[in-house]
Amino acid sequence: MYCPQCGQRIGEGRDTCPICGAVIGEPVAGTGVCSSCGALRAPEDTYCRQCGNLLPFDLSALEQLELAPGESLGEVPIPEWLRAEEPGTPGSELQLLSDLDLPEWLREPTESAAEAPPLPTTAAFVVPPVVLAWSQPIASETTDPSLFEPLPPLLLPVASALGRVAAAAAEPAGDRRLVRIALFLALAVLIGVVLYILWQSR
Amino acid sequence: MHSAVAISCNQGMTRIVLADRVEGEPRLLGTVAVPGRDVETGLAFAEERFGRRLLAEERPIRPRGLLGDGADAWIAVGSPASVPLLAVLAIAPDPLLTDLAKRAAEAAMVETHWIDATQVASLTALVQQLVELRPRFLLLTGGSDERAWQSAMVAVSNALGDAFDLEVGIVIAPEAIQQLVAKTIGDQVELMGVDPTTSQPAEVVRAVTSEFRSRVATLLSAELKALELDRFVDRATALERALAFLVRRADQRVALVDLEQGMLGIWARSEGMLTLYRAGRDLEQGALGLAALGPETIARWLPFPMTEEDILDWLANRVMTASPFLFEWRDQLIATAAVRALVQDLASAGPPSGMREDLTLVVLGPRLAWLPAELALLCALDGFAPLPAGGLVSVALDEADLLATCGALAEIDPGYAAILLERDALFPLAHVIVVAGDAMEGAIAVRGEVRAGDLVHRFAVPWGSLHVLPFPSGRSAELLVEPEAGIRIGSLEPGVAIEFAGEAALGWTRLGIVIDARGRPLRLPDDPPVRARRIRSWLADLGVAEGVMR
Amino acid sequence: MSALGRLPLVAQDVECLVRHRLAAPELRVAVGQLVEPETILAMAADGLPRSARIALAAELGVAPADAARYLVRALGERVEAGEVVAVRRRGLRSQEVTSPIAGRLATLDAETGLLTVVTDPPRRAVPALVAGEVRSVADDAVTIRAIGDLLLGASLLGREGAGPLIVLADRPDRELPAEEFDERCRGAIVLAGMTVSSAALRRLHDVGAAGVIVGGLSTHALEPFWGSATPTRLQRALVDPSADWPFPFGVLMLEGFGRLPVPEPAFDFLAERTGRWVALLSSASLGLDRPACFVSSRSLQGQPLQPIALVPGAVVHLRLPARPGLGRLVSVPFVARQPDSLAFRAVWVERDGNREIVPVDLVDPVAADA
Repeated sequence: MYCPQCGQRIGEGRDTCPICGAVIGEPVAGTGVCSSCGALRAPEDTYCRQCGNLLPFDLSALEQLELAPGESLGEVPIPEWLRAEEPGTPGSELQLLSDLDLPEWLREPTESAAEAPPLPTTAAFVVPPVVLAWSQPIASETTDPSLFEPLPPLLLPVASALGRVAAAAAEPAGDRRLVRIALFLALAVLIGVVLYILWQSR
Repeated sequence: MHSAVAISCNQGMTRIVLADRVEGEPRLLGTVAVPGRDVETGLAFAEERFGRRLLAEERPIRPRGLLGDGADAWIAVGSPASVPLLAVLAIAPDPLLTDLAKRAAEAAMVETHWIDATQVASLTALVQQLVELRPRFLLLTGGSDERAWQSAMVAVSNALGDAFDLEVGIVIAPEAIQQLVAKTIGDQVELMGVDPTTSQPAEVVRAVTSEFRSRVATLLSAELKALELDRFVDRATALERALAFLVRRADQRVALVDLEQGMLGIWARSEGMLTLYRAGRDLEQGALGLAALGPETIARWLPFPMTEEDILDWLANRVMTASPFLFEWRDQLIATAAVRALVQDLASAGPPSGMREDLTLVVLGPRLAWLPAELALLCALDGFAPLPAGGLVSVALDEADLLATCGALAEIDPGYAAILLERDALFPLAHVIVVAGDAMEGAIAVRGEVRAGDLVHRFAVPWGSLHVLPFPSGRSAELLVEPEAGIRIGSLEPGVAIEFAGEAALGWTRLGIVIDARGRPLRLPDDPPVRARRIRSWLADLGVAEGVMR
Repeated sequence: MSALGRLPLVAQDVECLVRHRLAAPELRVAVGQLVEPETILAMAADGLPRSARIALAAELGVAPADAARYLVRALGERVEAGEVVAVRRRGLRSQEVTSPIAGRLATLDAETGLLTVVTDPPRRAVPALVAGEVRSVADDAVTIRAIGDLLLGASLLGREGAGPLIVLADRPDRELPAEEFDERCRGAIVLAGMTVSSAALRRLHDVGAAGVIVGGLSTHALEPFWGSATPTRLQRALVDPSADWPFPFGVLMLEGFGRLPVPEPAFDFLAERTGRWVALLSSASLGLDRPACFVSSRSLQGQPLQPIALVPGAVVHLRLPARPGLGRLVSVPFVARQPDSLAFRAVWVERDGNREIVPVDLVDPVAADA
């Protein structure tokens, strides 16, 4: 069978899913069926328990009142939790529930609100609005034509690198001159050394 | 301006796009596409479809009549029947200048052929190469070695003359070299020059690309001369304008792939734009050009086994039939595999890795809008492998070829084009949440819930799969996605959840919201049967029936 | 729209105008002359002349006017590719210039120092390939009015050819081993079946076949001859059938690339005409959008080749490379719109119990009387 919450394949007869921890519970007694294999499904199931197929959201949980032909609403038995006391019945006046009868999350904040536990540290990350061109058209006919100007080309050699190209192009001439001067000096030194040796040897 | 007709003229398809004011606002009335370059049939079908006369005595009706006949503006956008050949001659190659020339040539909507003059055995061999190529355009680039330039220009001069006619030559070199070139071949060919030492690199590329593109547009206008249209714009320029608008208006980081004639890829973000064009690589006349990628690069994306010989036969049949139709699922799956291989190959020559993948919007050209939605989505996700910083990337189809139309119309009436583009240009295909990290195959990677009105749907997505959350029609949806430990969404920190709620709720898309939990980079198993099974599982995740995957 | 017609896959006793383009011809026929398939129409150049320009002065480093002094071969002489045509001695070194192609040293321009080598293409006899009457003779073409039976193909690779038809395959989906192609195939047009392998192609070359008809041809069969350049050369061959083809005979594919059976009506058509003289003609020669196999008859009376109206109930051949085959029309042509904006003329066809939309351009009525 498949876990109805995460869709993973799990062994038969399990109470909880070993992968996502969902409580599998009792066999299904819903009104919907899987479109793929026809197995019964519960309204809150995300995946079919029999074939693992992804199930659409089932509204049948809200459709408790199904009328048979010829029936009228007055004859349909209303579930206990939907019954309201008839007017005039003792104790049927509307009474406000006290806070103590309300669950925690419905109660009015009290003076102890300041002591409420802090928010969990892993807060959800809210993304700023995504302005998609097709969802929020706001252009007008006075649109600046420069909006259509092509953007500059990406990823080009930096201009300074090109400057180095120009400098490098000029460099060879300068380099050659320096080399010539160095050669001349070296030659002059060599000649001087030779002359000195000759003079010394005399 | 009330109405406009755009004729989108490409190799395998001709489209007639009609826009008119509806309740005072420019809207797309419709697009008619006919196979082949057949403007006459396209206009005839458009008249029949829209119930309006567009031509009178084979001439456009202009201006728009009271009953809607004709249009105020008539434009053509596209490419000439035969893509012109550009020969790039690198003389005394300089890496920086070669890169500039490369960028310019690749964005120019021409077929490029590279010649490195230093690698050619002799002057005569260089002359022979040029004569055999018979290029229409010439791009010369190189350093300042005058001797090398002199001998190369002798070769070019010898090749010119009655051997072939060159329309224009552009020189990317310092001024002195430009003078030398002008002296040698200035009498034989029209020359233009750009000095990279005194111009910004962007200016150099822009100047060279614009010149070639304007000549391509001129070739197109010569073919359609009889129609006396208002404007002729090459396809790349038109698309670049439209994407520039999207980037500026909606702060998008966009990638586009277009297969109308050859393959065009454009990456655009606020910092700039990169355009790459590959002639002779598409799904019709250029199908055999895909063989250069290697049939195995196509075979690896197929959900069924197919030999390399069969793939070559398929490509050869596409060229032989020159028919744009892909009716069979098998053909569509092969085409999808080919497109993924093509886009990957193009993207590898594109921006560097981080910039290449950080996309918020992927746009598929009109040719790809004909594939089934699921396959078109895979072309975008597998080809570009986006990994958006914010975790969300949207995929859109330019079904009606409106991006090129609006980009061209912007030359006449930018306001009209802007409204048309914003309202009708892009058809939303899917919103994709991209999940990265590492986990065991099949283990839950992310959980979440999607809320549309009162409906709440919870989901959990295993690692290595795709998960589709269909949209209730006509609604927007709020989405919360929580990754497991060690898993991250986009470039966010591992474990950080993401929520689209309130103003950030996601708008309707055709396929809905897709959670791509296959990780990045996308890895395909080496073993072919296992790989095919993996591809089939992804197709099944998207809702493609098992029976068609054979 | 219901008047839309398509040329039939097979047609009998039709009149065709076959136009042979000739380069620099020496004509041997005149207008009104009756010709047989083997009648020589002209001696003409086989292909375009090639030329190479040698930058002689630049290569030798001399003034253009002086370049002639360094030639070692005279103008007008024939040279081979790589042969030295000029030498300049500089001290102990000598600089040589070679010809890049084989040809004749045509001209040396004293102003530019350019030496031109020209390769004249060989001249060959151009046969009529069909029997009929010469309708017109021009400087670059001869047109013959021929009566015969026509079978449309998908693509012709290589040059046109003609010869007696020999049907070696016994079924449309038969692939014959190479040994089957023996001396019987010499000078003949061979119906080889579904496809031929590279070995079979080599064998057909060896025995001197005049042409081959197959259902399909795999690119794999061409790889031993073209190597890794197969896709590029195939692209070129599809554009210009006679260019860059490694065999002296052409291959007419009736369906496309791959292992595709011969369409049944085509197989029956050819089987009935064994021994008759047939020609494999290109689309340009016929003035059609597809090549064809033409079976000459000796009749002088024929009907013009006309498109047949596509009417429901007609049997049609579907030229869908993915799934070629036969079907039956169940609609008249209409303008289909699919997916949203694409408009094309299409028909509904029933095949194997299923109905499908097929573009009209990919539908061939089987026969005029079908």
